[in-house]
Amino acid sequence: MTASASLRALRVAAAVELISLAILLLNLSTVHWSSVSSLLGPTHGCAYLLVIILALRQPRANAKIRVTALVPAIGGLLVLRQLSKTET
Amino acid sequence: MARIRWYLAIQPVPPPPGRPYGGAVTKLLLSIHVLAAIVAVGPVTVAASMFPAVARRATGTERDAAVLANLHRICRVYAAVGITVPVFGLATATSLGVLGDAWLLTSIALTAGAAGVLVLLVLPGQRAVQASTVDTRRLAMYTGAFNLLWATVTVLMIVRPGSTTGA
Repeated sequence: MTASASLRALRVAAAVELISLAILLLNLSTVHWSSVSSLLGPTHGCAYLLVIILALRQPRANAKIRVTALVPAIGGLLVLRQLSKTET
Repeated sequence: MARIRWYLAIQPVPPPPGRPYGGAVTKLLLSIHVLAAIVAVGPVTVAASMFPAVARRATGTERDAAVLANLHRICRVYAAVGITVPVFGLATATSLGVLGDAWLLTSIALTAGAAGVLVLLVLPGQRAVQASTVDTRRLAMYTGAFNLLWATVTVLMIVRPGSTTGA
């Protein structure tokens, strides 16, 4: 995977990670439809794991960035921020 | 008491209240799981199986290197996409209430083994072959082991030995 394609995938996974969790929590605190939880739960899980895998594969990722990817919900966004810092 | 236990053991476990077997969400989860398995594992199988043969026939031209790089890329990318298969599989199993079944636990262990072989042996092996002219026989063996493992899981998913929830 080229660097830019991998970074784009990381951006998408980070967004899905955060948005899916936000909808899950919103659903939990309001109507609590079980089907929403059933479908978005695995989606969020996939996004979380994909963020970790993609962060590990980033050529510029150091140990700190790799550990940051493990942070729930905002790990992907934190990784993107740190990657943009290492760029400059 | 023993008689009741014996009776319960061969009877299908009733679905949890409000969440019958084969609900719409369960069907959707299972569809995503199967679709992801076909789309993600299929390309890895084909590309990984082609890799050692292509590497063996390679004569060191630029074209050979490009073909190998592309096959390796397919394996890498679809291995990452493949993470959706166990995640949605676990969701489906929870939804169906079969998470504790022996056939499923065996499948999970074999899947973990297959993932381990792919990530720790096949993908690094492909990189090593690309980097130098090392022997491809070992890589071919690892690839065969990966294919055998997930083919076994597929059969387990269909046969489901000991399952009481029907086909």
